[in-house]
Amino acid sequence: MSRNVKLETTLLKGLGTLSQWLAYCSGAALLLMMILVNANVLLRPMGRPIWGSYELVGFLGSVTLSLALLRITMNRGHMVVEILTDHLPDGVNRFLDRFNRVLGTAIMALVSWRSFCYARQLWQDGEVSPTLTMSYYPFVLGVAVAFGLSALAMLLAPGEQPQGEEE
Amino acid sequence: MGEVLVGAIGIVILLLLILVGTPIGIALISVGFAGFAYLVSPVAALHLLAEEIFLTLSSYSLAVLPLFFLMGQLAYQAGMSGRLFATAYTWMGHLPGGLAIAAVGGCAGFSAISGSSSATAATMGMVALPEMRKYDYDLSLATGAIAAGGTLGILIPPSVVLIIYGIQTEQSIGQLFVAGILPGILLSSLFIAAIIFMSLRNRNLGPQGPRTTFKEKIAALPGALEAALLFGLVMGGLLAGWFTPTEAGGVGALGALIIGLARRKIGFRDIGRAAMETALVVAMLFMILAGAMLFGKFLAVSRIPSELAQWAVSLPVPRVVVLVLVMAIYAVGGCIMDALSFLLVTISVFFPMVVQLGYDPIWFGVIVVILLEMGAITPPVGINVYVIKGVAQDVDLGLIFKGILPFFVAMIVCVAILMLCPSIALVLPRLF
Repeated sequence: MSRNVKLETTLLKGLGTLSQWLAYCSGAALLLMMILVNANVLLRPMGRPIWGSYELVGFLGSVTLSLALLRITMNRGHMVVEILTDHLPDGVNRFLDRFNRVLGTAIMALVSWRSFCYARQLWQDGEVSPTLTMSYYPFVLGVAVAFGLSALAMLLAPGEQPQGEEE
Repeated sequence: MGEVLVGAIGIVILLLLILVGTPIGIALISVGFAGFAYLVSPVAALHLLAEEIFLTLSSYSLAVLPLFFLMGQLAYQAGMSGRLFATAYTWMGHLPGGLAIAAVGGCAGFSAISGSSSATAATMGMVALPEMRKYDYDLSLATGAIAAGGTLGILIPPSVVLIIYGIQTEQSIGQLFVAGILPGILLSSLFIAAIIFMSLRNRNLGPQGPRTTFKEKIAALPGALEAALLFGLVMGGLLAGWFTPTEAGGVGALGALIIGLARRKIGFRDIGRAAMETALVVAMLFMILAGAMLFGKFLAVSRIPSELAQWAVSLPVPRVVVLVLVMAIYAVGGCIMDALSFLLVTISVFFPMVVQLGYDPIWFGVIVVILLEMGAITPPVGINVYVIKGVAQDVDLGLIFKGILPFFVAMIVCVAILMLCPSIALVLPRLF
């Protein structure tokens, strides 16, 4: 096994384990969101609503979704339409698979880069959320990391196996 | 190059990318970003990219989606579908095709606590199919009834598709939910009528089950009571203004969790699994949603939706012709793409046109949902059919599609009735 292949395999294995842990955390963030929403619904009639709960729910939403993104990419779980590709020859499908992976990697990397820039801008400007007046650039940074890792996963994930061929 | 032409080219490239297997979210982001960069400026597009995606992921109003998905997952884990089916069976099992009717009834009941079509089909398939096999039901009728019954999941509130429609078109989610109730009951009744009609024509298709006493019927009611309570809490609270749609999802999820815990059907491990699975499904959906938002911005600057709307109004044909054309596009689109994805890709194009033609946006939302439901049971995508195939692996796919046919006709009848009598969908929203 060449050094590059070994590195790729190790990276993929690491990303796989990381994605599993991040997916657990993603579920935990969702449960936290549910608890927060219910606590606010219960406390509001008593005149003691949770201050900034709308903002917190939004931030928890971004945490939930960012953390789950890597797992979806690792599992090739993004929604695709296979109506045409199911009927194309293996060679064409291999080419399309490569094309889609390159495009996907480029877009994810672009989103990651722009999110990093956006987070840096928010940090430099001292931008805070309207109600809680808390800095929210860390959540944007989280999105940037999630897309960055997903770009890497999309680049390294094994390509489509032709029908009838197994690894 | 004019803006409209750029917009049209963008739409064509988007369709091509989707057809060659590019993930739908990636295709939407790519075309939306490139189109916006061309029409406005690359710098503006780069700024829009990060901001739009973060806004989508952290939107309070969009948090309604994971919470309603979680509610459905927890209701499934709590075994509520099985008890709903048992109740429906006790009440209707003695009728011709009674078990299939009970399956549709169970689907309608489960739809009231789950907003997903395939989840409803999967859960009822696991519960009802073994029973129908036991009583020698025709497998075509059995699988067709469940696959079609599952489609009620996205019509009867809470409906994930109606939530997305509401967000994308800025319509009240509460009003859309209420608007789905009567058409949902109508469609369920048409499904039941189709089963009775077929079973009366051929008694072997759905043999009658044993008759139950009145006492047994009453004793079976608690199986439906918990679902009714949960539905009442979510919808009641939403309509009374006690909570927002997002909070309604959270309250529903907690309600389903409490029912599961009280019935000792859910453990901590199940809660964790349900939350993680929900997060994964929703994150996949949000990639498309974020892409659709970006694509929508590009379409807006290309002026395609407004130009298309103006053009449609100026056509020398009755407005119903244009409407039927749009409906045909949704019916066909639902056959080749997942319902939610197709809605997200197209709604910003067609919605302004339909509103400009003078149709009620709430009514159109209900119609779109039924049309997309048709796609969920027709080849080649027919997601519900594949879900049922997964549950009943020995049943031939062709047999399931054959079984779908009478229910497909029922859906067409339902759309026709709603077109002739729009007040079926609009009477309840006008009351609240």
